[in-house]
This record gives sequence, structure tokens and C-alpha cells, in this order.
Amino acid sequence: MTIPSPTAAYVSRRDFMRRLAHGAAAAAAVSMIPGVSFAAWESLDADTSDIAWKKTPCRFCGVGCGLLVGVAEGRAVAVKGDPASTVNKGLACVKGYHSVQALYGSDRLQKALVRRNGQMVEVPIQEALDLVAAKMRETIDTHGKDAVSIYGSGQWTIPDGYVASKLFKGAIGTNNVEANARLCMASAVTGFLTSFGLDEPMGCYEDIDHADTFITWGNNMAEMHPVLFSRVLDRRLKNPDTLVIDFATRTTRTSHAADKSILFRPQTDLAVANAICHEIIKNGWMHRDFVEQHVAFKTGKTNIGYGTEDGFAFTDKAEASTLADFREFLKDYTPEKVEKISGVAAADIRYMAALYGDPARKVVSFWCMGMNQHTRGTWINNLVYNIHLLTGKISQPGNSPFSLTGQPSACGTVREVGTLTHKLPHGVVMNQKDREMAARIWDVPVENIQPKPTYHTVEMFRALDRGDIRFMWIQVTNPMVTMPKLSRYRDGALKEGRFVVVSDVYPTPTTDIADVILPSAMWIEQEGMYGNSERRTQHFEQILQPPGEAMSDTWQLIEVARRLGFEKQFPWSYETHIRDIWEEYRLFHAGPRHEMASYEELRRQPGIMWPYVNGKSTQWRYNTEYDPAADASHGRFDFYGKPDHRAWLWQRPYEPPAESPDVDYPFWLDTGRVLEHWHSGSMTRRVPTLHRSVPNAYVELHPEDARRMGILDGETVRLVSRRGRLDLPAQLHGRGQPTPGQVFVPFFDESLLINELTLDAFCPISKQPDYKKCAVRVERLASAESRDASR
Amino acid sequence: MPVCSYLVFPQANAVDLSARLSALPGCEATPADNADLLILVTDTADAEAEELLQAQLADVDGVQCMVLTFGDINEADVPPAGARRKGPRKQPQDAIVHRSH
Repeated sequence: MTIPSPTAAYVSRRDFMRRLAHGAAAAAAVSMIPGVSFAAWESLDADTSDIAWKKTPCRFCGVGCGLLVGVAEGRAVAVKGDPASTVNKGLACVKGYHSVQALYGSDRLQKALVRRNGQMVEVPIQEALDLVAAKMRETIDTHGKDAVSIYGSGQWTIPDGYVASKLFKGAIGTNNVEANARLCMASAVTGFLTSFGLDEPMGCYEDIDHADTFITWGNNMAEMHPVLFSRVLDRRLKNPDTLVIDFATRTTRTSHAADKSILFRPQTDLAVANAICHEIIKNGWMHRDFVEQHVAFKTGKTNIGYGTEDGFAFTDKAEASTLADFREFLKDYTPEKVEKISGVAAADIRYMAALYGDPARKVVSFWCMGMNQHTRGTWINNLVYNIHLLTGKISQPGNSPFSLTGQPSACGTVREVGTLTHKLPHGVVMNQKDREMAARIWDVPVENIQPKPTYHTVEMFRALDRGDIRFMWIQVTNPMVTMPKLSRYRDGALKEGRFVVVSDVYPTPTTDIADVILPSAMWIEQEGMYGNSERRTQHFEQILQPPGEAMSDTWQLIEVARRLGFEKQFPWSYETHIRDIWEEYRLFHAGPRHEMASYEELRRQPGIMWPYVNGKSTQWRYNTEYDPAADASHGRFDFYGKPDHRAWLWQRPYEPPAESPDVDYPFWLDTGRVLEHWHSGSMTRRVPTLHRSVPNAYVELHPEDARRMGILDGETVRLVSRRGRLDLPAQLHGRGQPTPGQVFVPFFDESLLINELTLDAFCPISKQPDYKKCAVRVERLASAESRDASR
Repeated sequence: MPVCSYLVFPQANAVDLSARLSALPGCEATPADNADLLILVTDTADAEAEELLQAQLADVDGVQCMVLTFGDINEADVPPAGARRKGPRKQPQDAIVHRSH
């Protein structure tokens, strides 16, 4: 076999398949060995006349890699990283390289389905949309407008989320709008808001090129954000003084690539972060000028609960505090005391403090689900900011606390458009001025926009179970795999009198509980925008035709809105609706703090970072050298999100999780993702290579625990929690290894639903559930079955 | 008609191993310029030929480790077996409403 010469007049689709295969291998190689090159084949990787290459952001994780998709005869046939993208600089990960294959699974939904006589039957999509609108109207008339709801996603495009919010909050007049980013990013949002008053990172990916110290907090970047992690490793290759420290509860590929792996007991990151602050102050490493000029000390409520009961409510209250109070508070967090809580050696705590405290080092802290899916998620976000604020290592190239996102538009759609119950595209529903702005732009009476939030995600599904919500429209997400304490919410959705509409691209456990299934256009089958982790908005054009009657979620919502009588608010033509929606949406963000680029600019560039002022993206917010909104009268930095123009440094104590191992359930259960699969697996499990790589879920056990219990590698074991049980194969020597007394299970496998066992406890401030900590027991299946039989 | 790619870690010399792998039918191996590592792309006519090639690859000397990085995409591919499960489905009621407009 010979890879054809780029001079060949015709290059077949199969030739491109070989190139694609080569590209996937190269991507994997670069992930493992930054800088490795294969000149012999790269010289052959040239464009050919029969392939049109179109730019798009990747539709998987929140890194937002730029891809070039090769299209021939109306079909996507190849993918490569976009060298013009400053995000990935031509790299892509294994999911990115396989991304177009996810478009072509043979059971792709192409027709609308409606339940009749207990069976799902195909109907024309216009008839299904009629039914959706009629059912919404009937539900509102019978049960009130707060009985209808929409549950979306960080995979919604920005226009998807915008029209959903406008329809439900503006036109219908209910705040029953939530998105699955509540399950992955809400603690990051409340962390930003409580510390800085404004959401999203102050830094950008270019921080990687300036830093020499990277500390990952419960963040397996090597698998979850592989392209960014490649950039970190590349930085280390070019600058040998660079250090990568992995601070985690489980040994992963990130740990193996790091210079040092430090393991801590679940939940005790709170204590360790405080201990680091203790050492920074004790050793005189605090940046006194920065703290005096730019930081305000605060305390909040403690013993704040876990939200496991219906209707749980909590409101924090900030009280003014002082540096002296903070020193006093930290006396409980000496390295020796924290070693006993966390299992982290006092010497390792001092080592991390010394890295943060060294004025010659530039430090980036990265985190994602480990800190956010945490019953004290807001607090641990605050505490990492505390470290950066004490040392003044923030808002400048190479010094950055950096919250990574999991989904391609968790930031762009959920956080910026505001598809959460309390949010509006600008501000919050509780604020009269924000409601007035929304009413003016949306052309609805201000009284339509309700001043009180309704249900956050967990409570929304509880309301569906209770019957307070009767109609739910679910788009681009798979909650019947991803909700914690799943059986309650599935049983609730199946109750009589509930009507569930699901817009998706493949059958899933969520379409299984639907009354109407709407076939959706996927990714580049529609025009749209995503917003990634570094405030970068990326436009993509429609490159392919969707199959059958599949329709974008944006247009589905517009069709239903018009059927409900809101033609005036949704007047757009099909040809220009994305442009028109974007230009309307960006009115909400006018001004130097969040100015968004025009539609034309977005089309021209491979992504633009807001605030975009005078034709320039803002890389470092709050720094007067870079940020047009920062006022130099406040000094070099201006934390303008807070009324006092200071960042708030919070006293947040260690508090235990909602459920800890005990005699009956002696293991911690940690859940998460794997490199090859996107979240609930509905797309990546239809890509043969990815599916074969990791065909099913498993439970990682520490070999010592397995030996003690007589469990062999691959043997089926039973996990039991207070909420459910699951039989799955044991993995003793896989890519990840939990500490003794802990097990890990990935959640991508709909055949092995680990969320039957998880607990729906959440952070009382962010309302984000903790998928990382609950208690289970592990049983050998033979023992469990014989005991069950004897009962 | 499977097309696959692998990362191959040689026991010793990547260039020598590259030559041995490229000599197999349907195989193209490319050594890295600056690391002991090579990429192998395989292209076989059908499942039977793929199986035969897999057996031949297993017999090649000098391979420390081989990692699959890509499998074929083909219009004939079906969803992976076992990707869907049989779970609870809504049964009793119909999606019928009284039309109000």
C-alpha cells in the first residue's frame, strides 16, 4: 500500500480514510510525545481539488479546538486540526479525529416519532411540532406556565440557547430553563461570581506559553482536555524548568505525565488549599501590595447542608473580614493538622505552597469536574482563587487560576446566554434593570419575566417526579444516563401525566422515556456558534445537510414559538436567522466588559475572545494593560465585577461530604469520563474505533483491595450503594488506579448505569451535584448471588 | 474494507521495524523523525483479510507495544453491538392532546 502522491489528479475517499487513520495516529503520538514529527507522511498531507476543507470548532469538549473538515460529494470524509487555530495549533485528539464519524451511525434519527398506543410511530416533523406546541398550550392552560420546562445543554449552540431562553423566560413567562452545565460548571460560575462578581476566566490558553508551573486540581487533563495538556507538555519540553504537579484523588495518565503526583482523600482539597494559604502567609510569601490594593476579605455561612431533600434552599451571606481574621482562621490548617485530614504529607503541602509562593515562578492552576462536582464546589473554587490572590498571581500572562469547561459551549451558551433558571443573557432575573433590558430587546412586557428563579436541575427533575412540572422538553443531552440518583428521576419521568419531548440525534435512554422524539441536526449540519473555556466565540457554517427531516434545535424552537402565537418575537427568515439571532443577542453584552464581535467578524476569524473592543480580543481581564474595561485609577488591576473593585478572598472551612464510607458501605465511589467517549456515549459509542477501544464501563479497584477480597482482573463484581446496585467487570491494572478504599466507574455506558448508585447531594450555593463522592460496598458476584438466593 | 492505524513502539530500531511492517500486504509504516516510534496504517479488503493480517502482525519480531488509534469508517458499518440497552420505556399513554389552536 502506498499513500498517494499529492500530485495525483484524483484522490479517492479511501485514500483520505488512510490519511485520516494516519492523522489519528499522529494525534495520539503527539499527546504522548510532544514535538514528535513524521515528516515522511506530513509531506503527503496536502489538499486536493476534490475535497473542500471547511473550518469549524470541534463539537466535543470545552477546549474548542479548531478543525478542518474535508467534504466530498456532500459527505464529511476527513478531519484535521486547523493550523490557523490559536487553540490547538493544528493538533486534535482522538475524539476530534473521529468526530465526523459520529454523524453517520446507521440508527441516526431522521424522522419525528410520536407515541401512539404505547408505540413510537413516525410522523412528519411538522405534525410532531404541532403536537409539541399543542401540548405546551394545554399544560399551561391546565397547570400554569410553571408546569412547562426546558432542559438543554452546554452542547446547545449559542442560538439554540438564546431562543430557548427567549421563548420560555420572555414569551411564555416561566424561569423553568435549565441546562446540563448545571451538572458540570455551576460551581465554577458561583466561584467566579463570589470571588470576582463576573463569570469566566480572567486568563486564556496563552498562559500555558508563559507559565513554568502547572498544578492540576482533581483534573485528569491528559484524558479530558488532551490537546491543552499536550500544550502543557510541549511547554515543559521547551522550558525544562517547568513543573507539572498532579493533585488528585486517583492516579491517572495525568499523574504519570506529571513531575509529581500528590494524592488526597476525597473532599479534603478544601483543607489542603487552606493549608497552602497558611504556609504562604507564615513564610512571608504573600504579595502584600497586591493584597492591600486589590483584595477584600470575606466570611460566609458555614454548615450549609447538602440539598438531598426536596425544596432545599440556601442563601449565603457575605460579611466583611480582615487579614488578621484570616490568619486566625488558618491556624486550624497547619500542614501537620491537614496531613491527618487529607492524607497528604505535610512536606508535600509545603512543597505546593512554596511553588505558589515563589515570586520567580509563574503558576497556572487547572481544574474541572473534580472541583466543580463537589458538595462544597463553590468553596473550593474560592479557595484556589485565594491562593492566587494572596500571591498576586492572577490576570497576567502565565499566572492564572483556570477553570476548564467540559462541553463545547458550556461557557458560550449556558453561562453567557444564561440558560439557567436565575439567569438572563445579561444579569439575573432577580434584578429589575436586567429584566427591563431583556424585555426591551425581546419585545415582551417586562411583567412576563418572572423575578424569582424556579428550579435548578436536580430540583427540576424532582418537580417532574412530584408533578409540579408536567411538560419537559429536553435538547442535546441525555439525563436518563447522567442524573444522579437516577432511578428516582427516571421513574418520575415515566409517571402518568408527564409529557416529555426529546430532541436528539440518536436513540438514547432519554428518548426511551419520550412522548415525542424530534430528530435534530448535529453540529456542522447547521450554522451556529460555540463559546469555549477561554471566552472564545467560534462560528461555524452549515457544511452538510442533516439527514431526513432532522432540523436544528434553534429552528425547532422557533417553529413551536410561532405555533404558540409568538411570531412577533421570532420573526426571522430561515436563510438569515443565525445572523439575526446573533446580532440581537449581542445587544445584551454591549460595552467594554463583555462586548461581542459582529457576525461578520466571527465568520472571518477562527474565534474571537470577548470583550472584543476596537477590533481586539481581550486575553487578560482585570489587568489595565490588556482589559479595556479596567480602570487604571484602581491601580494595575481593577476587579470591576465587585462594587468595591476588589477581588473577594473568602474564609471557607473544610466540611465533610454528604456521605462517607462506613461499615456497611466501606468504599468511596468516584465517577467520571474516559478519553475515547463523549459523556454519555450516545455519539462516540457509534464510532467503531472508539467503541472498540473502550466497549463497556468497568470498575477500577486498587489491586490491594482486590487481593484482599479475592477479586481477579476482569471478574464481574457487584457495587451496592444505598440507592442501587450494579454488576460490572473489575479493572485492576487499567489506565487509572484509585487509592485503596476507593473505586472509580466511568459513566458513558448506558448498559451499565453507574448513576443508579450516585447521590443527588449538591453544593448549596451552585446547586451542582457531587458525582465524585458517595459510599458503596464491593461484593464478589458469586458471594452476592448466593446470599441473595438464601434470603 | 477496514482501514486502521496503530502507534507502534519498537523494542529496538524503529527504522528496521518499519521496513518489516511495510513488507506485509496492505501495510504502510512511517517512523518518527525524532523518537523511537512509528505509525502503521493498514488497509485490507475484508474481515477475513483483516484477521489474517492481525495474525501476521502478532508474529512480527521487535514490537514492544502496538496501540490501535483508528478503525475504519464505512457506510456499511452498523452501530456497535451492545451500544443500546433495553431499559424502561414509556408505555401506557399516548401523545395525544386536545388541539387548542
